[in-house]
Amino acid sequence: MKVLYYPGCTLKSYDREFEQCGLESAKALGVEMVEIPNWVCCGVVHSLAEDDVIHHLGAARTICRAQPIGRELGVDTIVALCSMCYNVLKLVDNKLRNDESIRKTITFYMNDEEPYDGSLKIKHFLQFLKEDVGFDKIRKSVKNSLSHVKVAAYYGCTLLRPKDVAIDDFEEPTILEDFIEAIGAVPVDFPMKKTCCGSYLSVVDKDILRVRAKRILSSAVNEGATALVTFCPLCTYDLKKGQSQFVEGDPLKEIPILYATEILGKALGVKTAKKVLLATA
Amino acid sequence: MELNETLAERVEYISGQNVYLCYQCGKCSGDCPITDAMDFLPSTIIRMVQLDDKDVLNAKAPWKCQSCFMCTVRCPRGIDVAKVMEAVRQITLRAGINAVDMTQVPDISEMPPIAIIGASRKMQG
Repeated sequence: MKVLYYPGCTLKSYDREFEQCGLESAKALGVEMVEIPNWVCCGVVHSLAEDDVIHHLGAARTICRAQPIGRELGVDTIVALCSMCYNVLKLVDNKLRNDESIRKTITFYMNDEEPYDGSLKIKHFLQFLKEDVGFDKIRKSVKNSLSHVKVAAYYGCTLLRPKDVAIDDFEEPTILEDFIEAIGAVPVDFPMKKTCCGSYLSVVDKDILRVRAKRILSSAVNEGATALVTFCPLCTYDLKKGQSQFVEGDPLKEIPILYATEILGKALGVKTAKKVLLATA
Repeated sequence: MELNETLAERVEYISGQNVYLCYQCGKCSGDCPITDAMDFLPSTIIRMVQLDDKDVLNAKAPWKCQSCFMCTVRCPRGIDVAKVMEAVRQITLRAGINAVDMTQVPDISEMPPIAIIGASRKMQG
């Protein structure tokens, strides 16, 4: 099976393991992720001002550039690994699909891209694994037992909100827990699983990160987690940055913060995931 | 924009949200994960806009909001509170005033692009 793949900036420059483990795991599951040529930055945060259309352009360009490749390969889905990229692409796609005036304005800004035709669906990798690959297929492909690892399912914000981009129930999601169960680890539900990590405030305020990391990680550890997984590079950075400010000996300082693709890769036995360290509790 | 427009009118123009729908139940403030770092609660920010209190433009709270949409999905009046916060920020940014000078951020070279771009997009005009 082939899908179009949108990587985004941070996977290419900062957290290469996130992408490598994702691509290798997909391959192990029989999926080829075809990177969209000439993709551009999604913009990270979706513009919320009604009169601000220009900031949708990056995501719109990427979608339009992917259209001919989709036709050529007979593929109708763009998959993003990064949850913030997914959020922006999906919100912009919704706007282009449903708002004729925005679609028209965006078209005027295009260079040689073809006009938006709505032929491609935007999905997050986790959603793709559930709907197109199937968690059963993952369950059957597991090579390494992770039954000793209790994994906190940290959704953050952008996979669930706003409502119209939620990849599962936006209040009571279970898709990440179901995924963790499918790879053979023990999923841990915890109260702070949908709480904001502090997002881009990491640029201006480190105290804010420490407080949020403390809340989120203690909530996970109190429920028995020995590792925490996420699909968001910004959550990962913020939680690790917050964690680095804890005092030595604090159990919260030790809990591994991992990408969900790393733990998937570990279970499937892919090359890049070999160096991923899990808790051994 | 007409200079004599009220804050509520400007916010509605930018966000499409009618702040007068708010009846001050405080649900947004109860669910906001970052109120400990704010000077005013999200519901207070909305009240200030309703009352055309220009001090709202000097408040720190809208800049702490990270658009996590917890308030938006739970508002019983259907107000997209995150969009109201964005509109309050936009009024300042559109006047040419930035909330961060990215050239003065320490350790910026060690940060992932996702953080830098996010902050640049939301805190600079």
